Amino acid sequence: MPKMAMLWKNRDVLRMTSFNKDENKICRYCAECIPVAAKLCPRCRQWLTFRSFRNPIFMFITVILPFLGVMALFVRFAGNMINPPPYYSDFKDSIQILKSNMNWAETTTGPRLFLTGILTNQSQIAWRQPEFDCRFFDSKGQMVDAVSGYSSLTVLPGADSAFRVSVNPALSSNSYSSFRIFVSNAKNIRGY
Amino acid sequence: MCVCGVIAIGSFVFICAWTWPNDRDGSRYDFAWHRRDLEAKNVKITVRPQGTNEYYYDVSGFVTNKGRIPWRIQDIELSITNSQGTPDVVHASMENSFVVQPHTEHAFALHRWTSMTNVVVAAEARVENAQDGNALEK
Repeated sequence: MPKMAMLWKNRDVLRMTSFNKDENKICRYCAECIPVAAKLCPRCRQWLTFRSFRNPIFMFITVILPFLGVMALFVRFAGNMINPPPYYSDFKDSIQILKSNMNWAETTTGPRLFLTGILTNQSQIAWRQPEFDCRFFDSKGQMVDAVSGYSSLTVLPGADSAFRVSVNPALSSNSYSSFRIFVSNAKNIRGY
Repeated sequence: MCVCGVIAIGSFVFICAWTWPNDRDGSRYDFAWHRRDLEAKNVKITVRPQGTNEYYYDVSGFVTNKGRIPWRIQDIELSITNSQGTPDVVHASMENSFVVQPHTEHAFALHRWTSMTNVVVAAEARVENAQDGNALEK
């Protein structure tokens, strides 16, 4: 067997015989014998310490996690720019109806139903254009109609405001015996 | 490094797609992902015969919101059945869309007519389309 071929065949033996535990260590990436003080493998160029960007955990903690945090803040900020809070869904039930009445009126387009009343804003935020959930019941207490209406008003924090909801009745007037009305939504002062 | 970069960019795109408004109205959420939050309950139907082949019917009920996002209801799908068991489907757009706040209910009523040959006896309803209740109304 040629000398070079024999050396190649016994390279592991040669490597082990040249391994000195005090001066050398084994690279965990390429399994080569390298100096014990090496922080970077001279053969595979792999960082051997934890604080290496090639270490996935270190990379995740130092780069990706802060990056995602910054991006989330950015997206939240930009989203609030487009659709600024506060939202009525966070303050639902802050507008309460104190008093309400149902009135019929004959108009040129036929009979119309007007719900009027007074509402109060119990929050510290001004709300605009409240939307109402109007439910109508017959004499037996069965719900016969439901209408979603709105009133163009602004109700300031802690203040009262009168409202009027105009309803186009779908049934004859004697079907509307009683009603209940709730505030279902409102816009903030910026119009959202 | 390359894989981490791809993960970071992919995460950014995912977060943007998830929270960024998909329209200029400021919608933050897509109804397709939250369809199960809305449920139509206590749906009742009453029929008023008008002509020989026409029946006006009034459907009323409540839409409940089990989720944490307010939804503005725009379309409701009605499945009505007559006494012979023949089904019909109506896709009804709400004349005045309404917002159902989280963990609340909102009443609805629809007044339609059908030329089915027999009286309508049953109706089922489900919310077909809605938009983010905190966004501008489309």
